[in-house]
Amino acid sequence: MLENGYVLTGIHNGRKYVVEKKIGNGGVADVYLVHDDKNLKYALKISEDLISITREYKMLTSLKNCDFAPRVFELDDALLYNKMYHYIVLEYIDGYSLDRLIKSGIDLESASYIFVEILDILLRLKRLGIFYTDLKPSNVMIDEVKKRIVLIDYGSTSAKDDTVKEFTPEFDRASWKVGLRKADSGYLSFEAGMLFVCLVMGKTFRHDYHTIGEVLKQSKSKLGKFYIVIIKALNGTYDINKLYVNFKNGCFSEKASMYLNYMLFIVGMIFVILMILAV
Amino acid sequence: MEILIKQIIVVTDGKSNVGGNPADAAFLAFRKGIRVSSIGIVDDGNLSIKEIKDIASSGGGVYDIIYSDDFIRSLSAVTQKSAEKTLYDTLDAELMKLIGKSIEGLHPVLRSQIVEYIDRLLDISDIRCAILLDLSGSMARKLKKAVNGIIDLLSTMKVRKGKSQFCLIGFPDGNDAYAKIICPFTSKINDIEIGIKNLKAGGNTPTYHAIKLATSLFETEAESIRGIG
Ligand SMILES: Nc1ncnc2c1ncn2[C@@H]1O[C@H](COP(=O)(O)OP(=O)(O)O)[C@@H](O)[C@H]1O
Ligand SMILES: [Mg+2]
Repeated sequence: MLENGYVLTGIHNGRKYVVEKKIGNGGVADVYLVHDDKNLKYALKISEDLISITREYKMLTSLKNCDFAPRVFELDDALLYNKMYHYIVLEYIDGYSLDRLIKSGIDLESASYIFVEILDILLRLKRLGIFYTDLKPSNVMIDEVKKRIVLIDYGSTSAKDDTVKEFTPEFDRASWKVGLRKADSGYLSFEAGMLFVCLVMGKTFRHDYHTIGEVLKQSKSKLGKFYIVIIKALNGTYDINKLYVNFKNGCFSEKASMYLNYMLFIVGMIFVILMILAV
Repeated sequence: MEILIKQIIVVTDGKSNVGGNPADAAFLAFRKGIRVSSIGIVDDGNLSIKEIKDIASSGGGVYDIIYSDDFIRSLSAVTQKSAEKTLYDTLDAELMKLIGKSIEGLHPVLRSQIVEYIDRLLDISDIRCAILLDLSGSMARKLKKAVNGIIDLLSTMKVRKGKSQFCLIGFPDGNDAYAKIICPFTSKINDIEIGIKNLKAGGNTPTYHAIKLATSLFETEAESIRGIG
């Protein structure tokens, strides 16, 4: 939509930005790399959809002190081709999204390392009452300069127990038919669990070609020690705090609890057998 | 503020070939306070994208051009966006009455509060939505996906605090009539599920008549409610 070199002028604040290149587009908006008169770089997200751009601005201003979200500098309008557009100016994240990492492949340890950070961000947001319900590879960026993980795209977060507004079927609990499209802890665990499967398998699974059972079966060997906790995450009701703790501890407690269950079972059986023999 | 959100969503994979221009019917519906949106499925390449766009622009709604694989996401997004538009327009008109300014006339940062209010209303407003499903021959292979999408939408809407009612209209009707009511307005998912179980595709594409029929359903509803009041 905007040509490289185009100078965009805000109607209300009057600031000017020069378009360098297009860096992304999603459902409702286009994202451009731009610079201002001091030659500072920004990402400019622009759309005709007033509601969704304003929503994202509001959300990002409330996250100003969080290093996992891009900083937001302004919200303004621009008239382009006789149509009113709305845009936000964001901190430019110099890096790449998880999409690229998934394509290039990544080993289990690094995947779990990144994943723990993502879970940490989801939990921090949840503590603020914000449910990040559109988790997917293209919304997670790795900032190569500041060496951190950034969740971008706050246009469709939800409050607790709200309907999930925008979703991507591959990561959506309801599309996989293991729960409602409702913002709760289980929804977050599901989308996160699916993201981990993608990271490890190097591809996304489609809900209309596979069942959860098939996904688990195919990824079992690659998931290794995380297999059991991922089973839980993908059942749709798992507490995201537990998911986080289990990953943080390299799944030690999950394994321990499984062995404990086995032990209890065996002890119980022996007891029953002894009882029978005694009678 | 209590708002009843009335909307029609047309789902088709071709161009209409019987009856009038669907955009005209959409315009009439919009004049009666019903927002008309459209989803075009491009799988086979005989979709008239212009027609899809015209229905939405005359009907005050939104449109989406998709492959049938994407139907679940699209139906939910279109329903959502169309409801947002209704609330936006309602508040826009209120604001104009109150302070003589439109939402776009406000400073962008001030709009945040309006958007927050829209989000709140989205959750608590009652929604009445008619889904118009193209049952012409070419839809046969996509019918299963369409049905899944509709069932999925119903369960999503259940999460909201406001009431949701749906009705399902198929066009054409096998027995020569132009469009048929598969399931009249109901809030029970079961009713719709029963209705769509035995759907068969085949015949023409009388989109105009389907929109007309849906519009008339909203009117009889309104009258019966008035009758009770
Ligand atoms: N702050 C940013 N810095 C760098 N790239 C960005 C930034 N924001 C978005 N992008 C790029 O633009 C793409 C789309 O942005 P996103 O915010 O997800 O838009 P949408 O809401 O339309 O999905 C992202 O996948 C990413 O590649
Ligand atoms: Mg995105």
